[in-house]
Amino acid sequence: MATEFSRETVKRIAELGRLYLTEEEISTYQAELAKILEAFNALAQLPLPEDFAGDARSALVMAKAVEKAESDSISRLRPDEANNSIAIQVFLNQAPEREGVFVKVPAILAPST
Amino acid sequence: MITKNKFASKYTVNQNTHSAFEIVKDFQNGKQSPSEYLNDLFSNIEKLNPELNALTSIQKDYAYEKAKLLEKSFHKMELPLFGVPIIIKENIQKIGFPVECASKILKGYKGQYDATVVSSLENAGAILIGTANMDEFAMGSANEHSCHGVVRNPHNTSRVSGGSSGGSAVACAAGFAPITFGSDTGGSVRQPAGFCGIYGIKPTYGRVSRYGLVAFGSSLDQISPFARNVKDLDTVMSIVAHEDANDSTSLKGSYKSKLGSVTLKGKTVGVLRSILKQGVDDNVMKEFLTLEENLKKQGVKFIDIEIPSLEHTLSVYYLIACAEVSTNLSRFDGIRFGHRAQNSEDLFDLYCKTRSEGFGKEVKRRIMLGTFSLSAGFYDAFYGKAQAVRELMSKQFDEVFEKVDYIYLPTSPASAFEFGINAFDPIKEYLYDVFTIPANLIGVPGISVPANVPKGSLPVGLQFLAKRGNDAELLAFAEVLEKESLVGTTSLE
Repeated sequence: MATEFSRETVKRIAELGRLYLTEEEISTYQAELAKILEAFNALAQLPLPEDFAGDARSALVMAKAVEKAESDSISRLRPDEANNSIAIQVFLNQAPEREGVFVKVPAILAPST
Repeated sequence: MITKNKFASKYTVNQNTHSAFEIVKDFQNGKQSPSEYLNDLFSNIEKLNPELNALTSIQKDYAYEKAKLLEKSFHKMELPLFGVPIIIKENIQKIGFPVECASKILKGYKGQYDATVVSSLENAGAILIGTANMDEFAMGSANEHSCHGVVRNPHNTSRVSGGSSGGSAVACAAGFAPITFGSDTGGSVRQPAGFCGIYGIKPTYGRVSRYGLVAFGSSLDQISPFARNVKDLDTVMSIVAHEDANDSTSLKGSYKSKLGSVTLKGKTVGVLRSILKQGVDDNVMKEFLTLEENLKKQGVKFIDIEIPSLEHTLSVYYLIACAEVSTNLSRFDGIRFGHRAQNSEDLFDLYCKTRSEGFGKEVKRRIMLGTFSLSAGFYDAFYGKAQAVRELMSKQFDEVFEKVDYIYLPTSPASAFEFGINAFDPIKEYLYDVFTIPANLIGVPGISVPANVPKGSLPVGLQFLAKRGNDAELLAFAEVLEKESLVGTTSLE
């Protein structure tokens, strides 16, 4: 199954990933995504037994798989208590723009939105 | 005629002379102090690193300060890594060290806290002496995608180091430190270990805390060490492989060494004969079969095994890894740290400009792929399906591990290749990971051991996988291979 990617689709995906693409990059991804998608399509059509539904929470799936192998082997979430926080000044020192104790950002509600 | 390799030094002349376990003894016996050791070591590094480009920072001031502190406190002499120099990949957090992940988007960014691995090493007396080059955000198989430039293989500088932990692998192979750390998401430690002729182990998923590792594929990532001998790997695993409340996927308990408890006789090893039929270079196949024959002579039983779902390894891996990349890398937005684009109109424009300027080609490609496969309408068909096949693969491996102690594979289908030959064809580059990826997908430990290649030949890595949690057995097994001289660090002489 050949999958076509229009230039608009590629641009839309880039926008979702917060990337701007040059005209040349759009052409490259048009071709590359189609090629890679072909390989993925083979996977999508693979028949699987019903109990392999696929769990989207992959880190947890890994954790569960290991847990099965060694019962009770996974650390639980730690108590929700503040500790080891980075000091405000240390954090601010590396912010690209700052004002006082704040990180400076462009207006969230820009005229164009 | 074989000429002397210019990267050979007293540090590489013998795999054990400058090993962690030997230098600790020297420091403890008062033969020399850690500071004295650092003098010579740094001058060797400064001589060799400009051409190899393995390190992105050399932390001399920090290292000497640490060494002096250690020397002052007498009781610290008993520490297992007392004064041992160690290098970390620059995607591991260490306060004040660059954590740029070889990306323009993190240019100038310095560690703001210590990774758990870093704290464990320092508590054991280790001295961190520098940070290692890598593929941008650990994405790549050759260390050709780095804003710091490529890393050269000390065995042949026209060839790649392997990746993504190329800098850490070369630093260890060239004797910059007895132990170095990388991260392995699809083979990023085992593959460069193979290309550089040293040992590298990817532990069981969760055995070493990921706290402080810049995330790439969270369900696949594992901080992993390199060394020039198995004993050093075992020592360092005893120090860094333990439960950590800061990583909710960390395993309970800790690594307990089993060196000396494994014998070859009676072991059963599984070989995926059918997937080795095509695409493996002759020199790799030759070393693979030689070790197999030698092990058979020592009473190891080999059986052929099949894992049908491995046919889909690359598709499953790139779907899952890229999906995780697209979410994990959304935190790089130009707001709190790193690069920020100038002259942006609004917030959306700032995000897009910053990320477009800051990320390299391979990273953008994977963000695109991940964003697409997670987008509405495709999520179940691709990501969900990939997870299902991963689960199936895991079951099939479990069944095989009922019958065998280890699974034997080459680390990579080829030795280190020349610069540029794969840089423009992602699919071709991805193929180099086909034998290392399964261990990450199913979470089992895997070690790359250096084959006994003929003098002057390129190194070849051979790989063994074990059951989840059997990290110590795997290293004990590798140590027997090393003791029997069936494998061993490839000499730079």
